[in-house]
Amino acid sequence: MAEFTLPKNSVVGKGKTVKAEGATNTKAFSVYRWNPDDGENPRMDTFEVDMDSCGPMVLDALIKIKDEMDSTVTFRRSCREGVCGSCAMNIDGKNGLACTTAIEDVKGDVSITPLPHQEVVKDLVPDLTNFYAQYASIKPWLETQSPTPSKERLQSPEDRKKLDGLYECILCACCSTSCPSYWWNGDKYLGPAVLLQAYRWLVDSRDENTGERLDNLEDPFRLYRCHTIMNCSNACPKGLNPAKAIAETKKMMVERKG
Amino acid sequence: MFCRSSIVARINLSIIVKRTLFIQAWFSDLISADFSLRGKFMAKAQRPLSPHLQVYRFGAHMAVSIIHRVTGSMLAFGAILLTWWLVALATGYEYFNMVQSFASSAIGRLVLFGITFALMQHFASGIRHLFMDSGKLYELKANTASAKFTFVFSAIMTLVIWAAAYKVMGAY
Amino acid sequence: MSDMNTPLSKVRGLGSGKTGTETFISHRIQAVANIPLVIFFIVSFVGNAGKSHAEWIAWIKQPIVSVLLILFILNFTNHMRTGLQEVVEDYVHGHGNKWAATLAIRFSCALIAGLSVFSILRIAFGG
Repeated sequence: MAEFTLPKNSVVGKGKTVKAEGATNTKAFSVYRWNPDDGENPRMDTFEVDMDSCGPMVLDALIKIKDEMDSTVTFRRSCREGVCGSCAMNIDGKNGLACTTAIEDVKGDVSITPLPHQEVVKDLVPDLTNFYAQYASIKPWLETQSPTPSKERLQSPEDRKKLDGLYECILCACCSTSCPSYWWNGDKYLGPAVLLQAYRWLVDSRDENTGERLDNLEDPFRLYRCHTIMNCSNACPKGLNPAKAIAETKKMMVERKG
Repeated sequence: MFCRSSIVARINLSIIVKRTLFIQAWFSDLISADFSLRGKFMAKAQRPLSPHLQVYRFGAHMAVSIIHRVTGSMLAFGAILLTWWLVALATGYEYFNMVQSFASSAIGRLVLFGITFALMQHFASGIRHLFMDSGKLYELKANTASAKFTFVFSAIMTLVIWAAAYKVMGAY
Repeated sequence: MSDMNTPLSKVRGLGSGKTGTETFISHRIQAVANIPLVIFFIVSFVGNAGKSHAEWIAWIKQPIVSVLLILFILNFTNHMRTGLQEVVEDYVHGHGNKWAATLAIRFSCALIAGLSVFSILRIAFGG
C-alpha cells in the first residue's frame, strides 16, 4: 500500500525557538531541520526574524537566519531571482521558490519544509536523484533522422510559438513534488515537470523522433498516473501549466490510435 | 656523528612519515570509500521522508479530485445495493418488500441519500474531467471555479432529486 | 532495499508498457455513455419512487426500459472496473496485493453485472 503517513523516522518533532533580541517587528519562521549525523528525528525550529532588517522574500529571511541566528540551517539557493530553481521548497503548505515568494503574502507564521515526499539529505535539501534520472530518461535533446544540415535547422515562427510556456521550465521540481500521484508512485510515474519537458520535445517541429518519444511515454505509470489533480499547475513558480502539457500529450496518444 | 645520525634519523623519519602518510592516505581512501558506500546504504534507510499530505495546503482542485475518487468508490457500493434490489425484484414479492422496507428505513434513506449525492458529485466532476481531457479548463481560475461548481451542482441536484422523489411518493 | 543500479537504470526499468491509451479511451467512452444512462436511471427511479412490486415489474417489462437498464448496468460495471483498477494501481503496491485486488475487482464487477442483467432478463421474460 502507498503510505499516507510518515514513517517512524520521519515524524516531525518540535525543535528550539530562537528569538530576535531587541526586535519589535518580528515574524516567526518555522523551519524543518534534520541532521544526518545526530541520529534524531526531524524537528521544526522556530526563528523569530526581525522584519525591520530583513529583505522581502522568504529566501532573504532564510539567509538572515543562517547569517545571524543559526549557521547550521541548510538549504539550496543560487540566483535569488527565480531562474535557477535551487531554492524550491514547501512554504506555508505550497511548493514554490523561496526567492520569489514574498514573506508578506504568508499570513501568520511561515512554515518551511523540504519539497514533499522526498528523501531528505539535510534540513531543506531533498535528494532529487530520481527526478534528474527521470529527466534524462526522456532524452531532453533534439533527435533527428535526416542528415545534419550544413546550416541551422529552421523553424517557423508559429512552430516556435508552440514552445512558449514549455521552454521556460527551470526544473525546480516544485510541480512534481506537489503531485499526489508522484508521491505514491514517484518511482514509476514521471511526474509533471518531466512530462512537461517531454512534451516540449514532442511539439518541437525540428524533432524527428516524436513517435519513439510517445512510445517511451505510453505506459500506465509513466504517463497515465496523471489524474489532472492540478497541484502542479497551481504550484509552478514560473506560471507554466504542466497539467495542460500532459493533457496534450494524452491527446497525441489518442490521436495516433486512429 | 650526532649530526649525521640526526640527518639519517631525519631522513628515516621523513621516509617513515611519508610512508605512514601514504599508508594512511591509502587506508583512509579505503575507509572513506567504505564509509561512503556504507553511507549510501545506510543513509537510504535513515534519511527521513519529507512531509507531504501532512503539510500540503488543500485547494478546491485537490478536493474535487479526491472526492471524485471517493464518490466513485461509494457508487461501487451503490452498485451492490442496486444488484441486491434487482435480484429481490426478480425473486418475488416477499423478498422485494423486505428489501424495500430496509431501503425506506432511516438508515436506508441515509445510505440512499449519500449515494445520490455521490452519483451527482461523480457525474459533475466526471464531466469536468471530460472537459479537462479534451484540453480545456486548465486556466487556473476557471479550473478552481469549475471545481467549486461541481459541489454546488451536486448539493442542489441531490436535494432536487429527493424533493422530487418525495413528491412522487405523495409525501406532500 | 539497497542496490548499486544507476538511477537511470531504475527509471528506465523494464521499459515502457506501450499500453494505457486503450484503457484511457474506453474509460472516457464509458463515461460519456454514462451521462444519458444516469439521467435515464435517475428520472425513472424518481418517477417510480414508492411503487409496488407488481408496478416495478410491469415497468421493467417494457422492452426499452429493460434494454436501457441492461446497457446501463453493463456500462457502469465496466466503468467501475477500469476506475477501481486505476485506484488500485495508484495505492496498492507489491505484486501479490495488486493482483489480488485486480482479480477481486474483475470478479466482483462481473458478478454484479451477471446478477443484475440476469434479474432484468428474468423479469422481462418472466410470466
